[in-house]
Amino acid sequence: MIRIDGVSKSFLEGVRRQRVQALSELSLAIGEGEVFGFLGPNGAGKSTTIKLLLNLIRPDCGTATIAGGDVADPAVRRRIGFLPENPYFYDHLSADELLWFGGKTCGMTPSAIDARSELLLHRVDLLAARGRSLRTYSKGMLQRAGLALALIHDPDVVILDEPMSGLDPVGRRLVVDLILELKSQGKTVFFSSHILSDIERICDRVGIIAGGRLRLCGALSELLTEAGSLESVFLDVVRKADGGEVC
Amino acid sequence: MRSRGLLWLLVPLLLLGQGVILTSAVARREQLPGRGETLYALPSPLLKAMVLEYDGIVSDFIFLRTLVFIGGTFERAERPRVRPQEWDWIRDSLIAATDLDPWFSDPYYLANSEMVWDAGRVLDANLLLEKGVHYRTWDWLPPFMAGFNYYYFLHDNAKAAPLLMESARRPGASPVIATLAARLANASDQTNNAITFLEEMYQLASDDMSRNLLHERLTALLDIQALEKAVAMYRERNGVLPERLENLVTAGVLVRIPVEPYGGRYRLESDGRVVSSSDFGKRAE
Amino acid sequence: MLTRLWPIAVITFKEGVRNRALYGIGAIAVFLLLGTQLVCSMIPRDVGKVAVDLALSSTSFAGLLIVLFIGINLMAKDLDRRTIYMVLARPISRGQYILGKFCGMGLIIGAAMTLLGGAATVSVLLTRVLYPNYFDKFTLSTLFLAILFQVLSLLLLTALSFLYSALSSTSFISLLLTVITYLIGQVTTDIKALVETADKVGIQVSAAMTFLVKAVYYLFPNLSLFDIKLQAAHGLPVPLTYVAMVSGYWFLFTALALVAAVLIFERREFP
Repeated sequence: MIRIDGVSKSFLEGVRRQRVQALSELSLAIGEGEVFGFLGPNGAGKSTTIKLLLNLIRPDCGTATIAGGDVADPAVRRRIGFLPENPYFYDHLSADELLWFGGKTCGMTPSAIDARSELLLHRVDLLAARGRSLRTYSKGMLQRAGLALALIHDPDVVILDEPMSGLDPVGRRLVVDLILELKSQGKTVFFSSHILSDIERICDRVGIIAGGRLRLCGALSELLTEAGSLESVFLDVVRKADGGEVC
Repeated sequence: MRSRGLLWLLVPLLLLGQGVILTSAVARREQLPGRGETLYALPSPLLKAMVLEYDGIVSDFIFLRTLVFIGGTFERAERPRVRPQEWDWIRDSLIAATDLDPWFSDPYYLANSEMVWDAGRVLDANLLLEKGVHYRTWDWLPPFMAGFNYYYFLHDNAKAAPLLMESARRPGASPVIATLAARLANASDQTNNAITFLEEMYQLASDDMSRNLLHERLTALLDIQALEKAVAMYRERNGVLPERLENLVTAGVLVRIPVEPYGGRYRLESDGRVVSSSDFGKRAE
Repeated sequence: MLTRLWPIAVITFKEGVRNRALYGIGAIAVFLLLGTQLVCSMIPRDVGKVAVDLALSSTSFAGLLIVLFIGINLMAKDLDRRTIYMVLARPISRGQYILGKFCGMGLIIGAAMTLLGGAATVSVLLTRVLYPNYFDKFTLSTLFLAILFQVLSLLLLTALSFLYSALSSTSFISLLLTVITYLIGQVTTDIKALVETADKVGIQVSAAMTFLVKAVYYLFPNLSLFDIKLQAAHGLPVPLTYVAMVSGYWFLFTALALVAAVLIFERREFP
């Protein structure tokens, strides 16, 4: 469903325009109906990978496709639901208007948008606040509104950037349940996180990225039988990657 | 809680304090060297670029400032009321206002009503009025005023006649103007021409000040007209001109010699014309 | 195409219209109604002209403020606060995003100028009731045409501000470039005339300077073409050919700015 083939990406940073390698020859394939957890320390390239999948940045080399279509084609995004990290929407719009925008850009009919918003706002527990402007929302509410927006057009692929960050235990529970629900509907979920316990609970497969390279990728069950806990696997991989960098 | 109350007390105190200091600071500023010499008008090409798209409203503002300035001079004790360099500034401001908006009528009228009678700056006023003639193609007043000034103050009938003809052609102009233009062309009967002109001007005048000015002027001219008529009658009876105007009264042609409204006296010239000895005659030069 | 533009235009419009800054525009409208009467009472004759000057100057100034403070913010805030991630994650192209934003801003300018233009017309008509003698050449149609031209000029400036937002990384740079464009756009005709007849005014202009002025003259929009305030104030005729020419110029320049903005935006990355 999601394929990344040999993608490299570097940025020019700072006043001296130094080239910083963000991703090196990253390849990744995620099958339909899979829940994929993407882990890595801060600055490892998780967000860069996700932005690449949404065509917010372009790879220096390599290709990325979703559901068989190149990510540069806007039509592909009809099948993608995306929740940015720390989502920020418009101040003066309400959750209802946000969902209307989301549905309308995907070509949904007004009645379909209404029905789907009702369902999603109920699901993310924002029914009472749906008419209020987003400016008055707390961080957790914004995150949940973002989830509703990501799912409004019933996408086949859902990409979530740090969906659990900044949420209280109730909110985190809600997101976990939602991902499991998507899984049961046969959707493909790709999400990044560094909360290992959540990943352990819901993922089929995990990939660990460090220093712009994919260090490990495999079924969660296999990794766990080899090393015992995801935490020890993760720490081991990151330590090795750091060592590799030094040498 | 107590400090909060003190803070609230501070607000009116600070407000009062800044008001007091403002008043005296402004008064001090008036005395700063260089005040009063800040009369300058920017050259038009620069001004036009600087006002961006706001030509019209800046023109209004410059005109209003000039109007207010002239109004302020009426409260001055000194004579002359307006200094020469101030007249220069008034002229430059009106030129700037009409460069920004050449169709704006008020600066032209202000130039005519202020700069001609009081300041005797007829040429300056006519320079402005002729710009008005050029731009305000539907308005009969600028050519009429310019024509009048040429005729009356500058004694230049050759320039006055075509301007009056132009005025007569424009909508709303009185038919008298056409007659005047024709008569000017052969330079006779000057007093009667002037009276016709002034009566037209008097009809037009909107404010009391210029009405009074015109009224005085008209009175003087009507007096002169009556005196010249009396002189002619005297000559018809006696075959010779009277030696002095007072002879008209003793001869019973006139009841009395009218009072010259400008404080001077009427005098008989050797060719039978009557002139005034006051500066009203000189001011035109 | 249009079905994808429309939602962006609508949320842009809603976001812009609910901005507090628009209350300020309403205040200008009220101030306009009161201020005009005050100033007009001081004018001896040409009251009609002054009333129209005040009305049209206020509308164009308020319109400029809308473009500078609401228009640029709408685009720049998307980039600054990364709302753009949410928008571009929808199935819309970068071009549709720019055009949708432009349409939304067009709606805001249209609504604000309708409000301001209405207040301006009311203030002029009220002055006409009070001083009926000084309005003989005034026509409502030229007044409306002047307001319409102002709308065109503001839209052109908005299109250029989008181009600058697409180019630059901070909203401050876009604001600065837009202000510079406005200033140049208003004075370019005067400066070119000044340089070309420099010896008449008695100033020395080097050949390099003349070239620079001419380059700027053809590169930047000539906004003074859209200024027919004086014509409206004096009821002077504005020939149809002029209206057609200026509309054509507006269309070409706005299209140029938007196409350039789209091309640059297409290539841009949002790390």
